[in-house]
Amino acid sequence: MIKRNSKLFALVAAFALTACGGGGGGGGGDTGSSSTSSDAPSFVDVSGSVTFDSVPHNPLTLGLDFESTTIEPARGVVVQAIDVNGAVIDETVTNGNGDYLLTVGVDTQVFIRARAELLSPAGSSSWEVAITDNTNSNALYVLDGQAFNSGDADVTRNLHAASGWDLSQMDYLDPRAAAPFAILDAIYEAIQAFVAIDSTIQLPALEVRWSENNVPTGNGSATDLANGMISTSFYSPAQQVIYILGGADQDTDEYDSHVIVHEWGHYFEDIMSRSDSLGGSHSINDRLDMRLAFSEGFGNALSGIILNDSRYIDSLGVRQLFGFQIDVERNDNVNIGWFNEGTVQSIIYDIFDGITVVPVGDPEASDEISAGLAPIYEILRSDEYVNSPLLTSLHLFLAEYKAVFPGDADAIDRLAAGQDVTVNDAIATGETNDGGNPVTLPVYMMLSQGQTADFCLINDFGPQNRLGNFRYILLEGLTAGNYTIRVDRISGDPVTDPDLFILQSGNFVAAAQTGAANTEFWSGQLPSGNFVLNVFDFNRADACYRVSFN
Amino acid sequence: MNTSKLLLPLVLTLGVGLIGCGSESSDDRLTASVSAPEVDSHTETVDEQSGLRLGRHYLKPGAAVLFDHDYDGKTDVSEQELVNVQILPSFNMETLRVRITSVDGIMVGGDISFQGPAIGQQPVNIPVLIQSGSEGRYYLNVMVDSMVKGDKQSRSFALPIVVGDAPISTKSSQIVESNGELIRVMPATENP
Repeated sequence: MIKRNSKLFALVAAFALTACGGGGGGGGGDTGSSSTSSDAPSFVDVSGSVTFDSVPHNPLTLGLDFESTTIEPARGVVVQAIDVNGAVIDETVTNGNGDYLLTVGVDTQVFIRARAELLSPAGSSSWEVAITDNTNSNALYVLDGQAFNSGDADVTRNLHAASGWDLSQMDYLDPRAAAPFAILDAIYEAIQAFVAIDSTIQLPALEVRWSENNVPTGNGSATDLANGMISTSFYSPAQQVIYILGGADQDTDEYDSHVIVHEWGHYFEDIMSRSDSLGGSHSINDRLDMRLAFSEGFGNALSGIILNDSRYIDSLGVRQLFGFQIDVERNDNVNIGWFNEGTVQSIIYDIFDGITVVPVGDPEASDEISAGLAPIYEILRSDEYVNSPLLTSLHLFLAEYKAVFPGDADAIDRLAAGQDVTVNDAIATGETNDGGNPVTLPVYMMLSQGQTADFCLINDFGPQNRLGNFRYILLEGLTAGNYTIRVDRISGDPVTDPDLFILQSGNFVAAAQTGAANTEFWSGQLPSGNFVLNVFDFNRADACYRVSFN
Repeated sequence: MNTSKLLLPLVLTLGVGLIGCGSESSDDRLTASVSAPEVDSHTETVDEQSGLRLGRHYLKPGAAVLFDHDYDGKTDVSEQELVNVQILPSFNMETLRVRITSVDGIMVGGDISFQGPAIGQQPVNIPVLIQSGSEGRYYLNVMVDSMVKGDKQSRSFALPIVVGDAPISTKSSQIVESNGELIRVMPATENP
């Protein structure tokens, strides 16, 4: 995370004092006081706006439409007045119109700097977001104006961040100054939506790393990330950092607001709620591991909710001319079910959106809920959801939703049924949709001490993070003590390598990952409580196994 | 060798140690902990010094394909080299469209397009002949569109082609230190 400027905290404190009727004097962008009581002013106001180029999508091609670029206010960003020695004289945060007001001494040589940084004003909620360049030591982007003498009268300085695109050459010929502010603007929208429903929300600091060098290749190494080879736009829960693509003619995402909010949604889910997702490649048509499906479907739906546009649009390609869209409002998804992110996004968006009048027989006819974002937030933040011994999934989310809002239970059931999902409880009792392979059911197996159970793992839908790659086994009501778990191959591919993972509320508490062929064994202590045993085959084998628990 | 398995005890130990320390080890907060089964190398951060898996990546959605190639990572100046690009679809698709381009003009014969149905998980292999008379670091840009039930999804990949001994160069002259922090200065268009 970027190094914070201590003066800014002092400024925020000064705002707080002002708001409480105390303090006063000194710097303060919104005080409006610009002179002392003497005849000759000692200070002048420097005010203005900070704006950036926003590039929309062409409605037909879904690529970026630079000819339709609009100028938008940079909302909530930090603005500074800096003197010739580099010292920060005053700081503030732009308002919702991108306007700022700073106070500097008369006849002072200064320039105005807009930092690519969102900072909450003093109040009950808080957030902090910075845009940095991962290919240049995570340096913070700033937008600098020209130096000027403040004189002895109030002055206006408007700063604009240009896209750098040359319409005649159809290429980026100048610095892409607008990009960091475009990214911030999408995140500002997301933050404001949650502040509106929780005025005390505390969002931990977030760093977003963008560069024009960020291209869709790389091996995941820290060196590759520092060289811009980031593979794609993603959120890293370990680093609590978002990486955003910027490679021209390949894939740029700074103006793809839905992509930004999707990744911010991963940050939100990880930090403010809970995600057990494995991450990795995915599409809305895949049959995915249920943890991944829920996380990605939530991110897609959230982008539509926040941006008030159900069409997730992602531009890419030569001259950024191409693109595709995912309409999260649509319900006619492929491979629907509890393992499909298209299903998840449709259901969450339908919970949020207004009821739509639709023809009889249309899948949208199952949408009878119009609840907004607040109840979705309430569930994701609830202790029951965050601390559930089960894994994050559509079943867990919807079961909690039904429990908290029983009046909507029947409507939720019909909404889920429209996507071939049965929600009797969080462990998916009664679920009949196996995605095309019966070994994927039941979603959870139950296992008590002294019992054995047989199950199969498959890679029909992919080998990494797909439906059937994992078996979830619920170990309920354990007392603290020593336990053993053994898994042995019983049929299928001849050379398997099963691995065990024991989770409590999604956290890994123990694992056994030896390379022993066709077997795995774990022995150790477990505290009291409920656990999920997760079995995975390192060789991605199609095979069946017997698990014994003692 | 099953590297991740050999490292697991270290990962477990380090994870416990970090919890006990109560402080971050670096500005990146690349904390190691007991982690999920590996997904794949392209979607995780891995510290190449220690081999530790530092975390999963939550990616944006796109076409349901994986990308692979057999490029060896180095091409001599003026050498012609045949590179096989492979697209692996996840399932049946009505249409799979692949466009391979290079703004640097390193593709002998120009841009390449492929279009056809995707059947199951059968890979699509596309040979690409590359050549450059100048040392440099170039890219083959691979854009994939999938059509499923009439809906298009896309995904972009890039394959770095290194001709000669061209180093990676991403450093910007706009980086300065200010008040103890690194900043990258972008010029404002100013309207006084």
